[in-house]
Amino acid sequence: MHYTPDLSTATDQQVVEWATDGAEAAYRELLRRYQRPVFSLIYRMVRDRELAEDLTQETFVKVLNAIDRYRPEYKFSSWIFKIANNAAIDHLRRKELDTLSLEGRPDATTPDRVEATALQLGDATESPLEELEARELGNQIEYAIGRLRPEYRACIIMRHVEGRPYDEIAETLDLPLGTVKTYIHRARAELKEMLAPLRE
Amino acid sequence: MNDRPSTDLSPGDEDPAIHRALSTLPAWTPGPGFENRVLARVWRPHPLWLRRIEGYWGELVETGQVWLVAGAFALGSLIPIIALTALAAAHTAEIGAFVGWLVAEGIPLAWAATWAFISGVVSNVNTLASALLPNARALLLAAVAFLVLLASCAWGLHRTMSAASATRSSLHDTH
Repeated sequence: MHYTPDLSTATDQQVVEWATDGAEAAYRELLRRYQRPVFSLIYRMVRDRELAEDLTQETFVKVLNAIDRYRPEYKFSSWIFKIANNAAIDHLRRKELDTLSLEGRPDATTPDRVEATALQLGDATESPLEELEARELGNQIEYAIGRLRPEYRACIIMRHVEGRPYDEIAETLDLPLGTVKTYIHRARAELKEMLAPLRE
Repeated sequence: MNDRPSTDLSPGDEDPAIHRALSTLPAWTPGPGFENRVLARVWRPHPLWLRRIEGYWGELVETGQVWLVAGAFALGSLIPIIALTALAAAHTAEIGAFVGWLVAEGIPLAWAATWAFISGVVSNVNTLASALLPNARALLLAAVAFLVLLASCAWGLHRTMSAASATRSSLHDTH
């Protein structure tokens, strides 16, 4: 017997509390809230849709199976992003894929594989010209992010794509706050340098 | 949930164009059925009240207090037995009269009623069977019609399932 209030307006902590009571709706709510940001983070890290989906699935299975061990004094988002980031970093370390290409992973040998590993960019803009410009800028930024070191990449994605505060990024990545700020500063500088030709 | 900051760039590295472009990068979604695939691999805990009982029981077993609780339950269950015995001792005459009536009249009455019911059911079944058996041809036709209906249902179900599988595969392929 579960008391399931309005999940859409509940805080993460409340949803987790209901999940620990075995309510399936609470599990679905956590998935609904975090599948996009977690999948986007992992996808940007590993650049392979199929692999990103597998790693995202592993992340959620790990988190939801250990939901009763979640400590509410920490942010749920920090916890899930930490596991997602670790999954992506572990994979990158295993495969030594520190430098990645927007046109597909370097180990992609067939056209199908190249297509599967290339990022699919959004296309909702006002006019064909704006769409082209946005696509071009988006392509360049994705390309530039892909060339950053994995640590910088994780920091910059969490900060500027997912909009996470510095302290949460530090908690998520197990790094001192100062190191996170330094990484983000350096990542911005590298991005600026890589994107300079496009902006001239 | 997503507390995206407006800006927090330090003056030294502020670059509104890059910042704006980064913040508008799209978010991707995993393929259809992702939720169900995850939930199929997730073990959901028992409800809290059940886990509390399990935890309490485990604690009792661990601390050896389970025997104490079992003894208390045994003593507790003796209370109504003692109360009933005391009540019976105080009303032996009434209980004796009731038992006498039960043996003399109650049990034979209950037996007669049960026997009448069973006889009635058997008699009805006999009547039905004797009415149907002469019409063997009608029975055969009914059986054949039933089998045809069963086969049609199975075929229809197979067609529906095949169509659903094909739709699901095409969804995955396009994704």
